[in-house]
This record gives sequence, structure tokens and C-alpha cells, in this order.
Amino acid sequence: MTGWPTFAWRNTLTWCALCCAPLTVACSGFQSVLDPRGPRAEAVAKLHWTLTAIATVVYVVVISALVFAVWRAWRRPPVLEEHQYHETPEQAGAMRRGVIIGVAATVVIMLIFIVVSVSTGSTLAKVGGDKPLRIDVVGHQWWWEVKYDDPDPHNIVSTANEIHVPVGRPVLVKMTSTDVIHSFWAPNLAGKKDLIPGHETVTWFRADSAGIYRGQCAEFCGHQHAKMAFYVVAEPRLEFEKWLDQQRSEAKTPTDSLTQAGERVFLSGPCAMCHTISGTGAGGTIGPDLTHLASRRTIAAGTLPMTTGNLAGWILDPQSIKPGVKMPPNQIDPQSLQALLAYLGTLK
Amino acid sequence: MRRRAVLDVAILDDHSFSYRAPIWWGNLLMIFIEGAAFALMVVAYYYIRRNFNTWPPERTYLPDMGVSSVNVILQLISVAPMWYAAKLAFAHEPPEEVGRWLMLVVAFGIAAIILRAFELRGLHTRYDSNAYGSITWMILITHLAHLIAGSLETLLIALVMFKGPVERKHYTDTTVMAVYWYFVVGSWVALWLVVFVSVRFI
Amino acid sequence: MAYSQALPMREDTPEPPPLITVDVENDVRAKLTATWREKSGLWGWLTSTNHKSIAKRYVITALIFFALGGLEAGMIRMQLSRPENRFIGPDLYNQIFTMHGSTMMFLFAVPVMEAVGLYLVPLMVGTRNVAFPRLNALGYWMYLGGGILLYAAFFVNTGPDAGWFAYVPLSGPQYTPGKRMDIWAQMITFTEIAALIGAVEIITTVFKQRAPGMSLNRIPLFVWAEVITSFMIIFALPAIVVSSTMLATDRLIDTHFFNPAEGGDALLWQHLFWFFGHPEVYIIFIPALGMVSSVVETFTQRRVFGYPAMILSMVSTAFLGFGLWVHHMFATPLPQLGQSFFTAASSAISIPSGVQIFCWIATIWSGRPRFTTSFMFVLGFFFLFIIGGLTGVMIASVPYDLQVHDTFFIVAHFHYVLLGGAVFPLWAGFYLWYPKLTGRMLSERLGKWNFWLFFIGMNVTFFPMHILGLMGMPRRVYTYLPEMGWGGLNALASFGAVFIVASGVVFVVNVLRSLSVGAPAGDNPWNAPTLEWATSSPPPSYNHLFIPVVEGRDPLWDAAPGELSVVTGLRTDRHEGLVTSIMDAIPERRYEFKKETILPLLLAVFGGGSIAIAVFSPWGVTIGAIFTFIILACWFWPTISPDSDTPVARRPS
Repeated sequence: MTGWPTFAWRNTLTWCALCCAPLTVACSGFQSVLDPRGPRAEAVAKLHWTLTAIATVVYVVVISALVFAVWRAWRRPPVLEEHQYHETPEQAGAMRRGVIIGVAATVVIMLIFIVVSVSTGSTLAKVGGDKPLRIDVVGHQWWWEVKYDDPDPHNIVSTANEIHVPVGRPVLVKMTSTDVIHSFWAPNLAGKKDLIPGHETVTWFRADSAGIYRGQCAEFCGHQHAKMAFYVVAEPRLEFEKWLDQQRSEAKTPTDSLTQAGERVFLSGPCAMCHTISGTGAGGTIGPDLTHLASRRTIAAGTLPMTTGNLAGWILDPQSIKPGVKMPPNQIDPQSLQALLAYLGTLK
Repeated sequence: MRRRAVLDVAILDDHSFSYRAPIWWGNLLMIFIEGAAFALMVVAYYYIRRNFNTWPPERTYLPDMGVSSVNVILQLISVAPMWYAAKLAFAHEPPEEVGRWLMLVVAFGIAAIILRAFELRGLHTRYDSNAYGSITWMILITHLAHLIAGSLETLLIALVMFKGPVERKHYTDTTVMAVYWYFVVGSWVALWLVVFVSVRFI
Repeated sequence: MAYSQALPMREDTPEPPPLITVDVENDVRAKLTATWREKSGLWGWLTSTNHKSIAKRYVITALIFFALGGLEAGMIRMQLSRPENRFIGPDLYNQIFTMHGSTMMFLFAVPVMEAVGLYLVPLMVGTRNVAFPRLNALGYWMYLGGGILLYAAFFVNTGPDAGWFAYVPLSGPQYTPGKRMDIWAQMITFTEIAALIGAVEIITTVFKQRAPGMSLNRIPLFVWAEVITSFMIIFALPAIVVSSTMLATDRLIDTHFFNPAEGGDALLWQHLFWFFGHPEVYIIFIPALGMVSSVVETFTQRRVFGYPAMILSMVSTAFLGFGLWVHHMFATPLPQLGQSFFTAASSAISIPSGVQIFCWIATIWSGRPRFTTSFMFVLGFFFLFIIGGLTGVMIASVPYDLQVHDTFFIVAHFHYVLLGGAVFPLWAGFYLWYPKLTGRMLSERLGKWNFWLFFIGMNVTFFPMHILGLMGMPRRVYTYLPEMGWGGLNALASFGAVFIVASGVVFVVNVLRSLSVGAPAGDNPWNAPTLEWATSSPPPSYNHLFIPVVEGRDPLWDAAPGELSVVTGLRTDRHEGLVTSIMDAIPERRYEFKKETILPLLLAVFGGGSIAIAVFSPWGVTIGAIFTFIILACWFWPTISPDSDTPVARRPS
């Protein structure tokens, strides 16, 4: 089949060019391994480029050797002896040398990979900094329970799906799960760690620049694994302290009639059976703590932005947004719904 | 393509023993498979140990040594008649003699099966009590399946020996059965050491 | 008991032994054809114990499952082609990706690799059937039963939905109630029995039934690959037997193996599953390496360079493959020192693969390449597998893996190694051995279309997934938000799937069309060296007219042109073969293969049926045991016939 090697060569070049272009897409953004905002992610991003560079060089060399071998063999004039099935002694010598060089290079490169990887690993194991902020995360199907612990019980903060941290301070996260295995992963900040029922796992990260970083559950956990996201909000220390103080407070008693009506709707309906609003009688622990619901940027574990419309849709029929979720649909007449939404809006 | 006859094999025998017989290899490979399964159960046993503060778990008695020791000794003794039956089979002795020794092995097998029921009771736990109960029952029941299969197979070969028609390959089957029986007994010694003996030390 | 000293060897006689006359050959041919004739009709099909018939069924069934798995993949790609797509809802999507993984891994990849071995190994080692023909039939029926069980359940909305890896507690009784995962666990039982049976057949056949003269250092590389794989199956499959049994009992009778509240452990499942799961991928991969060797030597007309190195590489890969499983668990709380060991082992496995790749490149360099479709698929293997191997070494690194684990980067990696490293060599093997199987040549023109559509489709579908993983897209998600920016690359990947489907269609057309219009193949259209090419295409039911005698590593190249040394003296009035010694293949005795019988099918139906019933009622186990005993008693009960070996005289009482 004449002409094949030329055709393949041109094809390969085109293909290479087409492939390289999108490689740059991952470099910036949202939930990206290659846009590190903290030391752990930074170390891995560097490792990525190192390993990718070495791997690319190895690939090009080996494929070139293959293409060269095919080309030489194809172009070699036919031997006189029609059925020579073994290599000649000269060829055998060259082949042995080639294989030995190839294998030796493989061993060397493999050792480089291991050294680079192990050294990156040991850097990451040590918590980078003093006096880490301690957070507990408990995985549920399909939301993240976040607790900021404190020796004084009044100062314990319980929230969901949104983690605020001060910039530049290491955060130590202790995790477990109440049901199935989940995995905590915010790629801009660090690699993932599983949340396993019956085990306590630990991870740490440090956000070195302010910003909002998205994370997502990375271990298949059932129907709505796809919609179990969380946000890490890294802010300057003073703003973080302000946020923490506000989160520590109980829900404000509603002052006007609409919000009072809304509170009654909440407390008299099924909501209180699953949700807690501290400062009221609602103490359910099946669903997320709603004491400061309105201060969060998203609902349903990062599925929808926090707006009145989305909240309304969620309350009325969560199954249409996240089918399979534990929260049932709720029949609420429009007036009560308005009151409820107004009340929830005060829970900042 | 023309063919040149360089070997003639018509004078070769058409049955053989031990590693010269394909069935021996099939049996050996099956022993590897089952042995690997037992090994993994033993690993799981020690893995589960790490999830408990005490072993056996709280409010669970140690498994009874009495019944289990009797069972181990009985099974070890059963190796003797099996070995002898295999020796007779190797020597192409009359099938009734071989069959008689095989029936003795079957008797030991039945005794071991009955004792296994007592051993299960002697674990003082249920398979659905906790993970300790689950893994110990799994080990004992899996081995029980081997005891039953081994005893029934030995019984079958013995019946063939008595009823006939007996072919020389059935002698090979007897010797291969012996290897399987050694595995059944040997694996039990190891499993007994894990479940009934090591439990007292870990 | 009389061994080689009784047999005339070539060196003893002054001149070469005579050629067998055409009359004698015709006579033997007629007798063997009559003795080995397979029964016709449905009964013949159900009772067959001929390894070629069984293997062909196995391959065709496996390819049907490949197509089904491909359809499932197509549905996944359609759902993911746009953000917030509503093509499939989460429940069906979770079933579909679980079915896709389970089908490809349990119902396609391992069975097809074993089946190709079950067809070729007896032909390549020069014997007439596998060691235990009835057991072989049982293996196929159990495999078919498992596949039917799984798909029947899927079609009534009871398909498994906790992933092909079925992590607990999600797959346990509390979080996946109903019968879905019970059926998955029992499908495992069926397919694992079939795989173990295949492994026992291949090892015993290769150890004890090789043609005289085929000493260990003359065994073809493909046969070595199948033997090594079979040993891996023997030691790896018990892990999933034990773990799937534990899962089934947790779900059905309340054991607590994986229940943390009662001392069980979710990680116990992962250790047991991956102790099976990692060798599983090498079980799929190593036979493919054997196929690459066969294709390379045939289409460069050179024996493969570095025979001992090739074998040692496959053996090292097999051993190392058992020491890697924790690299699937880097995100769990296992000690860091232990994890580093698995990094080293997972990287080290690149060395034997490298040895093989360089030996093949050297072989190609020294030879005369012919760019048949088969050879193109092997070249495609190099291009694709090396990418997968390199990303594999990258993810062997713990810190790197902690970022890309459970993302589409991993999906890209394993599709490159599985499709590129196993399916491309398999297709190369199809194009190489189709003439032997059918007696017809496949169309090279359609073959080239098949190759290029597959190659382009593979890259367009799976290369972007590397980037998607780095962009943060996790696996096993039924949808994603538009603002994540993953839509473009997902659409591209879904577009690539169209090429792969098209290539599958072209392949089926080529296979079916060539059955009637393909050029007649003859015995050895490619001038290949191994023994399967010494007999007609398709082979007669008795494989070789006379058992060949092998004088070198490449029997057909080492023999005198147009001539083959053979063994005479085997009976033609019963199914007889030759048993030889393990090391040097010196003839030891004659061996009778069992003929057709309905018992394997009966055992599969009743024994297998009761395994399936056990999902619904524990009585299934008891009834199954009883049936199994009865059928096995019939199986082993002696029947006196003229074929039997000499009956023992009973001493008069």
C-alpha cells in the first residue's frame, strides 16, 4: 500500500495541532486542577506540567522510533534469500542495543517519576502553617454538613454546602459520612479525600488568594451525586471573623407580620421535622441547618443560585430539581409561600 | 503439504497417574482457586479484628475448643484411610478393596459434617450478630461445603468401585480424589488455627 | 507407561522416515471425519463439546455484549453531550453506566480474550480438543446464563445502579434496596465460574497436550500469554467470589461484613474488589499482548525478537499486577508509607511493558512489513496504548492521583489502555484469524475504513476527557451545569462516539459480507509460522489430520518447505489425543476426550438457575446443591462402551 507513511505523517501532525489547542482551556478557572490557589494545588499543578512534559517527550521519542522502524523496514531492499525469518547477526546486535537502551531509559524515567512524585507527596503531607482552622465536614446524600467547632457550645457554627475560610491560614478538615462514601474535592485548593462511614478522614488546605472556589463530590454516591457541590469562600481575616460571628448568632425573631406569618408556616409545617433554625423550636437534623440560609450563595448543594424564585421552586418541588433527594414536595398556597420566603430571607 | 511420520504412539498406554494425568492438573488448579478464596477469608478475618477493641467482640464467648479439637483430629485421622485407598488404586488392586477404604473415609467425612454443626453452635455468635459472626460463619460454612462435596464425591467413587463397570481411569480418579481430600483436611487445619486458636492470642 | 524410549526417533534411522501416502491420509481423514463429526441440528448445537464450536459461540456472544455495552456508552455520550440535558434521568443513567462497565468488563473483555484462546490454543499446541471438553461447554452456558440474567433484569428496570465496582455502603442493603445489586452479585458468580473454567482448560491443555517437540521454549508467545493470563485468573477471581458473596449475604441474610455499625468495614470491600479488579485489567491486557506478537511476526515475516525477555515481561506484569490494587484507593485513609509502595509498584509495571514494546519495534525494524488491516490495528495499538500507559504512570503518583482520581482524566486513561491496549490488538487478531475461522478473507478496503474510523473516533472521544478531568469534571455524573464550561469538550467527545459506532457497523458488514464473497483463504494465506495454519481453513473438527511434531519455535517456518513431521498411531475410532510431558513435550500416553452430551447445559440450567433463584429465596441454594449433585453424578458415572479404556476385571466373590 504505497503512500501510507506520508499520509499518516501529515495526519499525525494535524491531529497533534488540533489536540494541543484545547489543552490551554483548563488553565484558568473554575474548579480546575490547573488554576491553583493554594500550596497543595500549586504543588500538584507543577507536578502536572513536569509529568506531562516528560510524558510528551517519551511519547514522541517512542513513536518516532516506531515510525522510523516501520519506514526503514518498508524501504529496505528485499533480501536475496526469499524466506529469511530470522534477523541477521548484525541486525541482532543493533536490536539488542536498541532494546537495552530503551529499557534503561524507561527505568531512569520511571525513577524520575517516582522521585518527583514522592517528594511532592511528602511536601503535601505536612500541614502548611500554624494554628490551623478546624472544620468538621459530614457527608450526606447529597449535601455537605459543615461545622466550625469551638470549646464554647454557643460558638459552634453549623452550616451547609458553603465553607468560609480566612486567606492565608491553613484549614484542617476532619470528615466522615453518615451514609455512603463521598469525596471532598475543591481542585483549586487541594486533592480529594474520601468521606467514609465508620472512618474519620483528614485533609487540609490553605487558600492563598481571596476568591470563591467550587468543589464537588468525587465519589459516586447515588442518584444525585452529580449535584452535590460546595463552595469554599476565602476572604480576608477580618471579613471571615465577621462572618463567623454572624453565623454564631441565633436567628433573629421576625418583626413584621409577613415574616412572622412565614415563621409560623415553617414551624407548623413539616419543615421543622428535618431542619434546624436555632432560636426557634425547629431542631430537625435530617436536612441542612437553615439558621443562616439567606447568607448562602446557592441552594441544594450548589445546584441553583440563591434567589427567591429558585428557593420557591425548591420548596414546592425539590424532586423536579434533584430527583431522588430526601426532601418531599410541599403543598403550600401562594400566600403562605410568600410569607415563608420573606421569613427565610431574614435568615442572614 | 505432505506429512512425514516420525513417531508412532500406538503402543502408549491410555491412562496414567498423578501429574501425568490431565485430571490431576484440573484438580490442582481447583485447589489453588479454593485455597486462594480461603486465604482471602483469613485476611478478611484479621482485617475485621482491627475494628474491635476486644476479640471476640464484647459479650461473645471464646469459640469452644472441645468440639473443634475433636473435629480436627478426626479429619487428620481420615487422611490415613484415604492415603491407603490411593495406594491400593496406584497398585491396581481389586476395586472392592479400594471401595471399602473409601467408604471408611466417607464415614469420617459424615462425622466431620455432623461435628461442624456443633462447631457452629460453639462459636457462640450468629452470622448476623456482627462482622465477627459473619466472617467466622463464612469460613466454617465454606469449608463445610468442601466437606460435603468431598464426602459425596468419595461416596460416588466408592459406589462405582462396588457396582462397576470399573475402568482403569477410575483408579486415577481415586488418587486425584485423595489429593483433594488432603486439601480439605489441610485447609481445615489452617482455618481451625485461625478461628479457634489464634482468636485466643490476638 | 512406556515412554519415549519405545518410540522410533528420527536420529535412530539412517534415512528420513517415509512420507505418508495419499491413500493412507485419505483413509485417516475419512475415519476421523466420521468419528469427530459434530451432531447436526439443535440437539447437536446444545450438546457440542468441540472447543472450536464453543469458542466461536463465546466470541459471537461476547461481541453482542460489546455492541450492547457500546449502545450504553452511546446513551451516556448523548446525555452528556450538553449541560443539563434531559435525555435520560439520574436513575436510568446510573443503571446505564453500571451496565456499561459491568458488560464491558465481565461480559465482553475477559470472555472474549479467553474465547479466542479456547479456539486457538488447542490448534496452536497441536492437539485435538481442550483437556475437559464437557467442562468447557459448561463454562459457555454459565457465561451466557449470567449475561441473560443481567440483561433480563435491566429490561425490567432492575438493572444494577451502584457502579460496576459496587462500592459499599451504596451497594449495600440500606442504600440500594431491592434486587438490583443482588442480581449483579449473581451475574458475577456466573461469569466468574466461566472464567475460572476457561483458565483451568487452557492451563491443563497447554501443560499436558502439546505436540511432541514443543518444549517450553518453543511455545508460541500467544499461548504463553493465555497461560499466564489463566494463572492470573486462578488467583485473582477468588477475591471477587469472596467479596460478591459477602455483599450478597449482607444484602440477603443480614451479615455485617461491610456494616460499620457492627464492626464491618466499607474499605474491606474496596481491598477485596480491587485485589481482583487490578489483575482483571491485566487479565484483559496480556492476551492482547500475545495477539500483538502473533500479528507482528506474521506481517513482518520475522520471529519476535527477544523471546525469553517477552515471556519474562509477561510473567513480571502478571506478578506485579497483583501488587498494585491500592492505587485505586489513594483517596482513602490508608497510611502514606504504604501508598508510596504502590506508587513504586504501579510505576514499575511500565518496565516490562516497555521491554515488550521495544522488542516489537526491533522486530518490525528487521522485517518486511505488510500493511494489512491487522497490522494497522497493531500500529494503532502502539499509538494509543503508549498514551494510556504514560497517563497511567502519571496517576501512579499519589498527589497527582488525588487531583484526577474519579474524574474524566481516569476515564480517558483506562479507555486508552483498554480500547487501545486490548481492543485494538483484538481487532488485529480478528483480521488475522478470520481466514482461519471461516476459510474466507476479509475485505482489506472495508478493513481500512474500520481501522481509521475506530482510530479517529477513539481519539476524538477520549483525548478531550483528559482535559475535562483537569477542568474538574468528576465521573459518574448524569449532568453538569452550563457555567462549568465543560459543554464544548463533552460535545466533541460525544461526536467522536459516532465514528466508533460507524466503525463497528463497518466491521459487522465486513464480517458478514466476507462469509459469502470473501476470497477463499487456503490453509496459510499469510505464511504465518504457528501450527493453527498447518491445517485447513476452517479447521476440521479433529483439528490436525495427524498430530504435528515440532522442531523449532516457529514450526511452519522451521519445517522443510511443503512438509510436516507428524505422529501416527492415535486411534481414529474414538476421540483420542496425545498427552505429553510438561517440560519437553515427550509423548506419555494417549488420552480420550469426552464426546457430546447434554449434561453441561443441564448443569448450567439447573445449577445456574438455582443460583439465580437464590437472589429471591435461600431455598435456591439447597435445591441447586441437590440438582448439581445429581447431574454431576451422571457426569462422572461410568458407561461401558467400546471406546472406554480397558475395564478392570472384578475378582469373583
